[in-house]
Amino acid sequence: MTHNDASTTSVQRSAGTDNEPDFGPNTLLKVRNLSTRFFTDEGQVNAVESLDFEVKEGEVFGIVGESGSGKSVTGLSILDLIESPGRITDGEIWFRNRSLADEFNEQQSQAVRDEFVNLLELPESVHRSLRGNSFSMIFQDPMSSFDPTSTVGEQIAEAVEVQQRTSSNPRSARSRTQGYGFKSMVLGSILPSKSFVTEPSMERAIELLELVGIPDPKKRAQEYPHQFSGGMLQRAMIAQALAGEPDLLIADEPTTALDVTIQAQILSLLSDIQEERGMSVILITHNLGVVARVADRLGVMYAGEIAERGTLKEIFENHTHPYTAGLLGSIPEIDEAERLRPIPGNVPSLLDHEMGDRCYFADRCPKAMEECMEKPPEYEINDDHRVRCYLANREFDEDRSIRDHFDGEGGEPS
Amino acid sequence: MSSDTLVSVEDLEKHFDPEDSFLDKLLNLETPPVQAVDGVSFDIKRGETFGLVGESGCGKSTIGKTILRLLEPTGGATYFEDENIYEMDKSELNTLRQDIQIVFQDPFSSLNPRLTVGEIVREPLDIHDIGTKAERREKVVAMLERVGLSEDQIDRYPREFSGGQRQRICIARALVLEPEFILLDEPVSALDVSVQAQVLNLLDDLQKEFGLTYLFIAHDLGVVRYICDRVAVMYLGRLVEIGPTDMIFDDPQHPYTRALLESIPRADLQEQHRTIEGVSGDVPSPRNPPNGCRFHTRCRDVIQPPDFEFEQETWQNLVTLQHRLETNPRSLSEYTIDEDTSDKETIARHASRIREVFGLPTLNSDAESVINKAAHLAVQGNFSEAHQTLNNAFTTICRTRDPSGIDIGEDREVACFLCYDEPPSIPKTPDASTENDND
Ligand SMILES: Nc1ncnc2c1ncn2[C@@H]1O[C@H](COP(=O)(O)OP(=O)(O)O)[C@@H](O)[C@H]1O
Ligand code: SF4
Ligand code: SF4
Ligand SMILES: [Mg+2]
Repeated sequence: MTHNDASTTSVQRSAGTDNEPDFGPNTLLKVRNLSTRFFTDEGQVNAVESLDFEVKEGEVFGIVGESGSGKSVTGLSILDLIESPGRITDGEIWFRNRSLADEFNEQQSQAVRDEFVNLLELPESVHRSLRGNSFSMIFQDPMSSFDPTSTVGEQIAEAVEVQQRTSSNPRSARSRTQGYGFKSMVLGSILPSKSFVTEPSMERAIELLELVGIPDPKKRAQEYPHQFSGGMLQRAMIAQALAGEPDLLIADEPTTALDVTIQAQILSLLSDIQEERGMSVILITHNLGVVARVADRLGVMYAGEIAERGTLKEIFENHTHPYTAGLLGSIPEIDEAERLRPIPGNVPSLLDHEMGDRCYFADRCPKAMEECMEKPPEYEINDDHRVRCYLANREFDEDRSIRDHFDGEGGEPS
Repeated sequence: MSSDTLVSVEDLEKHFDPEDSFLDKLLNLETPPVQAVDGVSFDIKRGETFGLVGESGCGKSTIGKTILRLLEPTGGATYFEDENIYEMDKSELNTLRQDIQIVFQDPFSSLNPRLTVGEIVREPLDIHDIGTKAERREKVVAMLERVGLSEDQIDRYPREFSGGQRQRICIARALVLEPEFILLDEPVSALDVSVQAQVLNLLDDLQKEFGLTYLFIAHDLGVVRYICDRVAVMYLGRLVEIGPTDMIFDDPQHPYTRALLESIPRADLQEQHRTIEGVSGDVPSPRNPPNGCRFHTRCRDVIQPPDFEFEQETWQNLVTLQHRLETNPRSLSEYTIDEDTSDKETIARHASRIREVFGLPTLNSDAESVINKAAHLAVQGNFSEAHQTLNNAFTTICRTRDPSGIDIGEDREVACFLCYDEPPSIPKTPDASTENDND
């Protein structure tokens, strides 16, 4: 049931995906068949597995799932921030960007379709130069994303400058500016030398700090990250991410480290800014309340795949996948106190040799049936709703249950 | 103390003295102590789960550690079965350490990686020298099985287990001495939701089976609602509200409790239509907490001075400005003018800027001239006089007196003047405010 040979890993294309991408009129980003793997000492980790999804212009797409389900790796893959021992091993990431499409139409036509470019086929320097400008990312832990040795104002001003250099002279700036300034935001690594920041970009930085609701922005701009509270620093990180006026913001657990009252402030800030700018957001979180508050559509991730996706309404009220049901049944809600219905067992390791060919959720699924020993394709329930589970087109049949098979495997009792 | 009370905390105080740096000492600068816990009282009944909630840094864990005497208090008492634990001698403490146990948030760092699971769970039995070797093993196995692990896992090491399983090991270790009372400090916060639910259900079952009493510390209010019988809500080292869980959640009385509950995002389709007012700003520093009601600088309902009728929002903004002038006037320096400027127009322009920033529109009342005067003083850098001007004119009970918790019936207590039948009068000299009022 297990197989170690990476080259034979079966790629089950979802129903309806053929080789040509088709873009809707509002598509901003289309991820197709994306696989990202880590080649570790313990083995090959399939962090993201043949992932497909689309983000429309001006929408908030939520990605929910438990830790280790591949949410962050998905975000990092889009930004080309996967580091060794990790690698994107397969897939396409189509991004709407007219000027790049024009620029590469001739030299690299396979990387271009209409107004879209496939980021994975562009030269790496071009892909990276889009960071901060076309898309930007904010992280769970703002403290480690800022350079402790320069002021918050300087770091935001730096992001402003990167953006200006790139947009005034896109080609020549690329080689010099790749990841510059952003690197400190992304990895918390200390820049080799303090950069010189011009007055106009510092002014812009102060404006941005004001925009994200930081009182006394002028004075706060001169302070260092450790002088900020967690909530204020998260606001500063949002300011930094907005410096380049990105079309797409990837927010990875942006409120997880914050207290609820501050979380509420940050969420309303994010959705105000998103609406004002018509920006698209990928909101990554484990918290279903957070997606309910701000997302338009969402994908539920499990073991590197999107198990179920759809509008909020479809997912909350009309879910088919037992994992979605389990996730919703496990959250203690503040409005009622019914007995929780936990999902038995543990979040899987994603090690390739432990994954098998079956439905990845089968070992924890209360409705696992004989057919689930083979991986289910993705079924379309309606235009707004798709699911990777056999229950999309059949009822659970007790007679075909294989629960006993897994319980006998020494699964953890609940 | 009634006989069904197991733990009684009375006026507990824990202030942490700062470790002044060399430079501070040289310059004779004294940092005020952190008032982590400042006059907290509550009782925990036998067999109940008592929840302690509040945002990070409000003092929850300090209370937990102090009532287990892992920290010495700077004031007050904790009674365990009528004995003040701070007056216990060595042998009494030794017995106490068997009756009370603790489970921490992080199941990764709280287990010794060099010991096997069996050794970890057996350790308390070894320390307290309970039973023969065979009896100990039997007990350990029984406990492991009870928490959902199996005998054949007894010789494995913590790193071989997932987060949820490790938390089960911590629980087994806490239970093996058959304690009466367990302090659970954020026991499920580090776990994934699906696993968190397993552990919560386990805790619930164990409580019934062994007749345990829990003190459950958490910041996740959903979890608290699920598992607690009664709840105390904390803000900046004080309790603001105590009561039965359902009542606190369905009918919160303290403005902070309301704001906290309102801030939680619900996994519900109607969520995007729900208005959240929440609370603005950050929690003030526990080194220098606000006078009077500690929540007054962020309270939406902060009570107005008797002779004025502001829009509530304007009044709240005025309170914010007052607080800033008092605690951090230098942060206002970007609105001040050069010392030698005497140009009236410039001063007036800056004054209206500061009013705009703080949301203080022109008013048709006696208040107008006071606010205007204060704004002028502030832009001229005369912060303390600006502060005095506002303080003399606008005194709110919420800043001048400290609300002690009052009984509002149905086993509930709230520390807010809005819940008083008759609020106490405002003291004559507004700055007699620092004196506390909570006995
Ligand atoms: N730098 C890395 N090296 C090895 N494995 C990694 C690395 N980063 C992530 N992974 C693995 O990829 C999987 C998905 O992780 P991640 O995307 O962080 O999940 P999530 O964000 O949903 O919690 C996990 O099994 C994780 O251990
Ligand atoms: S495919 Fe089968 S095992 Fe997988 S989630 Fe659906 S019912 Fe459960
Ligand atoms: S006492 Fe005053 S400031 Fe404190 S909570 Fe009540 S109304 Fe608000
Ligand atoms: Mg993550």
